[in-house]
Amino acid sequence: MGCLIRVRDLRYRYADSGPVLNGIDFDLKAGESTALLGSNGSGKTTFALHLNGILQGEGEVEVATIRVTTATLEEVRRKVGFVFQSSENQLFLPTVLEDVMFGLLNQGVPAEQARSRAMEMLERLHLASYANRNPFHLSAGEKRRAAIAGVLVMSPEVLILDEPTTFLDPPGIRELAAMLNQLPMAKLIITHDSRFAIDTTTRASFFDKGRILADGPTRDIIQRFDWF
Amino acid sequence: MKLDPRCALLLLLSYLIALASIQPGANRLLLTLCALPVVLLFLSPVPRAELLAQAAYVLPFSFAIAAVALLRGNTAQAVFFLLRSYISILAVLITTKLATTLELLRAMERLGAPRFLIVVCEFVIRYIEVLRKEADSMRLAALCRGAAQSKLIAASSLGMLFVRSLERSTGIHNAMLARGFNGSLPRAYPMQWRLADTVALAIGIAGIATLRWAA
Amino acid sequence: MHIPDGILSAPILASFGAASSLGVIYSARKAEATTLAHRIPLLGVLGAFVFAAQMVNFPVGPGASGHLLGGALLAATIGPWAASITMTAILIIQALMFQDGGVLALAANVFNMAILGVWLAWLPFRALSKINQPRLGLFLGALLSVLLSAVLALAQVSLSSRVMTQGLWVFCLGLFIVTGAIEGFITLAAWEAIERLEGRASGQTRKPMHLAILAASIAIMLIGVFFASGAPDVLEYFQTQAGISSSATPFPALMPDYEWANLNVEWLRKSSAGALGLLAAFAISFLISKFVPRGQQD
Repeated sequence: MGCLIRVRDLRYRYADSGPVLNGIDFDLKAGESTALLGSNGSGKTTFALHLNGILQGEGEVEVATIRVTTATLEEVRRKVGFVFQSSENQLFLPTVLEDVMFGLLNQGVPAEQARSRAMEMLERLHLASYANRNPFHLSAGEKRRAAIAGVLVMSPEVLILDEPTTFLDPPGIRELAAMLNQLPMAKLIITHDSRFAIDTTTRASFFDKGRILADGPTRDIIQRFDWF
Repeated sequence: MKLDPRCALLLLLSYLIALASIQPGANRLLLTLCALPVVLLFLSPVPRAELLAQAAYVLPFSFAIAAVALLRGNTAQAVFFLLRSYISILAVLITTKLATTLELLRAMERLGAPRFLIVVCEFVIRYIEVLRKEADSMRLAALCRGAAQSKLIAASSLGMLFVRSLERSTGIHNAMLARGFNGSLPRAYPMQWRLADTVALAIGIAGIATLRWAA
Repeated sequence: MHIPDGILSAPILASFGAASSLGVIYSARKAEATTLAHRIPLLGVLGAFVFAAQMVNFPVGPGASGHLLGGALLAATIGPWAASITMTAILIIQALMFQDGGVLALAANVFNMAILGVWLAWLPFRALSKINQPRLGLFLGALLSVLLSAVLALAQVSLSSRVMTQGLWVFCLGLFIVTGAIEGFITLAAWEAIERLEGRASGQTRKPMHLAILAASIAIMLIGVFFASGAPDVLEYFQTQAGISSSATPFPALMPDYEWANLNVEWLRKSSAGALGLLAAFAISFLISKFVPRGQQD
């Protein structure tokens, strides 16, 4: 099976700091679910931001055989759905419904169609009653679901989630895990929550100082690096 | 039946313009025009007592003007400014209950306000409570450290709020890019002007004009 | 100063409404052209910041506190065009959501605070930044912005209501000057805090603050001269009553009756004496602070 995401020798440094990524090789197959583990500052989020072209470093990054460059960003971003750690920043429009519609409108979907698809997605995630609310008034779990709704409605081929369990209580975490396990697309989940990683992924890559130290079954990686 | 927000805004502006055109001291004419929002208050599904009280609550400025007029022996003018301010605020409050602030902003855009301005307004509305919550947390933290009266802590709080705002806007922009933002913000809200809105606007303006100029 | 509805007359609303509309349309075009896409959310978030900043009480004296109004800080950080649009957005939301300022009165409030106020804050900051005095420029800009936009607002109210007296004008002017100075200090403090957080603190000494206070004093004196009463003060009154007002003075005064007689323009004649006096007081204080050692500080 071909790779949905293929990264070779990715290197990156921020303007005001030393190297953050020191030659990353990474593959993700269609339908696969992988956790990115590692301490804070090890480069997990920086790496993930290269997959939808928000950051562009040296090396090769391919998404569904499309090389990620400035010219291909629009196409790449249709295939990669990114759920950021901060739902407050992700839900930036004044109502939940408009926010979920945002991606579809950018894709050129007519407003009426975007509205009905967005409402369907909100109903699927049990958020229909919040459609006209300011996202500020939603709970942490509801915000997370709304953020995911805004990404899922665009039908991405790979879903990236950055610390999705932040601010969620245990029932919220279980609910999120159950939801993610029902999604068929490939998933890349950045998380510090070992339990969540075991429940939602089959494979894990361990980051340290901008490199991937090891890659393998999630439980094995967690045990090997004592990541409880 | 819900009015198109453009209709509501145009009616509100027409009413406020009619009020503004009355000469100070013409209290009888002013009272005639006051009838309109009062009638609307009792016909609309709005919390009446709450709005009547809220309108009075925001009157300190007008009280000052009225007080000076009174001290100069001009009672009619004092009453005039108090009443005109009160009824103006009441009209605005009724309108903002019948149409949300967001709807009124979008009505402004459809009536010619620059889109760039309205987009900024929408971001402000979205993040007012978020930033206020952050400011409140900082205030509580300062209180817990016994530094409620510290200039340094107050300045640092302002600085921190500002820097966090910069960081937040970068996060928002990344989230926009990730969902295909290409520099122009798409308009997601339909507005449909119906015959009923035309009728309501025509009757409303005719009523205002009659009370103002024909009475 | 947020003017509510029901106060301003139709001619004032019409004229300032036209000016505001043109100003906002032009500012929106310039802001959109000069704002990079990634900064669009910044304008909105900073608008929300201004609302939040009003919750931060800044101690300004015994039992007194003020809060940031924000126009000057916005102008200095995002430029005048973007700041005008952000301030306009703030005023619109204040009018619609909080009834702070009227809806029709936006015609005047937008002109006073979002257009005039922002540019009065920006121009001194820009000019003085060029001679490496951004802090002084920021302080002066904040002071002038608040002072002059409030003066214009009061003039609009005065012309519409015709209830203002000279005494009230003087009182309000004093209040606006104090508010402007407070805004200047808070803006400067916030600016310095931001610079520290962003690692740009220059370690500058407090010298520019002395200049700021001097500048503020001169501004107060110059404006106050316009409203100075011609009536005798208490001392002169009792001198006249006691018949001793015509006694010869032992020394010839440099500027009798606080006027520099050589100048032809009345306002300049009256104010120059005050200005020179201020400068002299400042110079003497400065020299004393340099040569007289400070006592031990707690």
